[in-house]
Amino acid sequence: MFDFEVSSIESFRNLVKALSVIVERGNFLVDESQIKLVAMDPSHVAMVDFELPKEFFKRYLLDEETKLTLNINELLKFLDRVEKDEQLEIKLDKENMLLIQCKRGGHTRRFLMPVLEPVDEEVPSPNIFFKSRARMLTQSLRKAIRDASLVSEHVKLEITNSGVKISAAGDMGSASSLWEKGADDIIELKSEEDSNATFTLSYLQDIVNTASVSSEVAQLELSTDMPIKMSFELPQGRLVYYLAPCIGV
Amino acid sequence: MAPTSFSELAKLCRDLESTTKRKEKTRLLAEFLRRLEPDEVAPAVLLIVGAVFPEFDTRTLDVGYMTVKRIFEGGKQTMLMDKPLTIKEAYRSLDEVAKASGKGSRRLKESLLRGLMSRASSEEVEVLTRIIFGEMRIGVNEGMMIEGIAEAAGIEDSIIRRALMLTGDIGKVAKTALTEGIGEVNRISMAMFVPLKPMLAAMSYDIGEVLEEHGGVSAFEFKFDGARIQAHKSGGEVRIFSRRLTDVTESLPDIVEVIRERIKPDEVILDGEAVAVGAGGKPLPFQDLMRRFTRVQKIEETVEKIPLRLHIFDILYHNGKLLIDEPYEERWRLLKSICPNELIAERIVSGDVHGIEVFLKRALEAGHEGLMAKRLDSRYTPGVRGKGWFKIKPAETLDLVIVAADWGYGRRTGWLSNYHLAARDGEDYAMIGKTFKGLTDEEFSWMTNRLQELKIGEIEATVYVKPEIVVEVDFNEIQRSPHYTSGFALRFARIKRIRTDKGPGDADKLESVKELYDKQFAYKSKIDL
Repeated sequence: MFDFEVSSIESFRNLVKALSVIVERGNFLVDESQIKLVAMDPSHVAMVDFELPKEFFKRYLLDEETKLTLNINELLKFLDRVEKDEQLEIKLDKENMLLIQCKRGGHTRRFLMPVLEPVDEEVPSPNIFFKSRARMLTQSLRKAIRDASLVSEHVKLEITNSGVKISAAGDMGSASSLWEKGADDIIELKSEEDSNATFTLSYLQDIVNTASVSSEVAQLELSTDMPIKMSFELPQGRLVYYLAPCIGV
Repeated sequence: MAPTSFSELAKLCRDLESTTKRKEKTRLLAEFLRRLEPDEVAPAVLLIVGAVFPEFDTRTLDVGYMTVKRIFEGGKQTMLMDKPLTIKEAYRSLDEVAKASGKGSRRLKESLLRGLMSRASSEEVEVLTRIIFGEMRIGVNEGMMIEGIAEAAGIEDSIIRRALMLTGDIGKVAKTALTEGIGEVNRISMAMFVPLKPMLAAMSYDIGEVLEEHGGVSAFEFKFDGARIQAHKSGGEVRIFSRRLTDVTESLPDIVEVIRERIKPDEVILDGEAVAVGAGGKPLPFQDLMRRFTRVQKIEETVEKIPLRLHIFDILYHNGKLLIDEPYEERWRLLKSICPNELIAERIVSGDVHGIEVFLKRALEAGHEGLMAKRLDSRYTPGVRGKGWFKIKPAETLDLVIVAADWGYGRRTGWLSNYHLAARDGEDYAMIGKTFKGLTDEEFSWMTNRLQELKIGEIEATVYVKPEIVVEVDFNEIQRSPHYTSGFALRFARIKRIRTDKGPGDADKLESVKELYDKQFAYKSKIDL
């Protein structure tokens, strides 16, 4: 059983949305210090590693460590009904139903959603040594991927000591963004070896679009033709994605 | 035990495809099924027959060719975790593809399939693609699978087949047979609100032939120009299923009300036909009737515009008792006792050809298709087209001109015995078939002489003649033909008689052939529903 009060409805909803692009049925682990979710998408192409510390909440009461399996899309539907100036409480009662309660000016709305049977899923812990790393503005990354989506289903990311490049080419033409070392939007750049990999655009776009709402700075870690690690920096917590590349595009 | 990988299923499919021997296929299936974990049996069986869902389940994958093509374009998507695809995972992915609906479902389906395909080897991809497009082509239909399950479980075919008839779910039957044995398979019974396949009828154009087949006497009912329905009633709850086992309850509130209000027993499953009636009580065209079955909005309005009349003709279940093994006549007697007369299909029991012809004429005049003949002691065999029931329709014939003939061989050596049949096409004649059937020896010899008089040329064993002789031709159906320039071909053509009273100008035109083709097409879509 637990009882939380969310301090920022907007941020909470945006984070849940960022999880929903990877998993539908989320196995959360709720302990005394944080809420945690590590999950892979059904096709094993992408995974998310998410943590939200108790400091994010106005109230965080928990009597024991709890595993909580929820349909994330269903949860989002309820969260979409919560208004900005409402007080949002999330509770787990004995009947294994999640209670979402919104209060404002003496008016209370309650939504109940079922907690699902947990499914045991094996989630890998990627252990990759990355050759290149770039910290950059999330919005800038988002726009470059949007550009690429005009011409292709795949997008190529390159990080070298001289800069970061995002490009795509297809029957409809080509698009590219190039940031030189020292560009305004690049905060940090380090490359031991020129690195590049190509990714399915729809995955990358879903991830970056939803995460960019919550995060201003993203760190990309890359090695040639290896999964990319994307860490979206949050005021509180952790939002990291891994995405497997396409080979031979 | 480790879960069975999908590659083993793919290998089985390849082995099944490479043999045409029924026994060998049965052995391969049985061996494979026995190796599976209990909860793998149903998914595997459904995947192998290429069905994904049990028959009564109306879900479809709804994946187009373009979607699949897009998935294979571009490079190979790698994965974070490389584990072989299992049968259960493949089934679950396809299940999720089917579940995806509404906004964004196109993309979700595509990404699910991309994930599934990226985990599959090329052999597995081949099998998955076949499953998605419903073309397994490994020669394992339901009947073959029944034999495989039977052998794997050591249970007789007939018991498996019967359980399948009752549940319509081959996955469930297979699992029960393999994990629980014959006792449980025998206990599988019809469940209320799970539809059974309707019994089907063989075709006949000849009342005499039907009577002979049925032992001199048979029950004749109108063959209604309507849509087959199966009504399940338990207390106040009623559900109606179409011929294809789709739940059409919501579209047919008037039928539901009739069943609820006027049928007495607590639990009953009835078989019947719903007919759309217009002015004067005659049936409306089939398209109008279908508007009732597909309608989901403004139902009340449509109910008024297109009223339905229900004709019940069979009872399959009654207060806890399954009746399909009772003789037809017993079922009819029970039906009479629980169902008001005006809801029961009109029928006669007769062995008198003339009386039956009069009844057939009445059916046709009432706007219906013909008659059903039901053997009095026949069992109800769900989904089976047997000789217990016949549908009798007046035969369609065409008057055609003979434009050429082939010299016969074997018993027909010395006769021109295979006739090239043509319809009028403007000033010309367009060939639509060949036949050597229907003539007596005497007629063959008359025909041979007459055709030689009309001969205008001969190439190899074919004699070309002046179009002069008209014959009335019976046939089973008209098919599209890439072979004849007319574009049509008669299936099972047979000369009914030589029309010496008619000249080539009286022969039917190609347009009439086309009309008949379209008409039978309308009929086909009817029985598909």
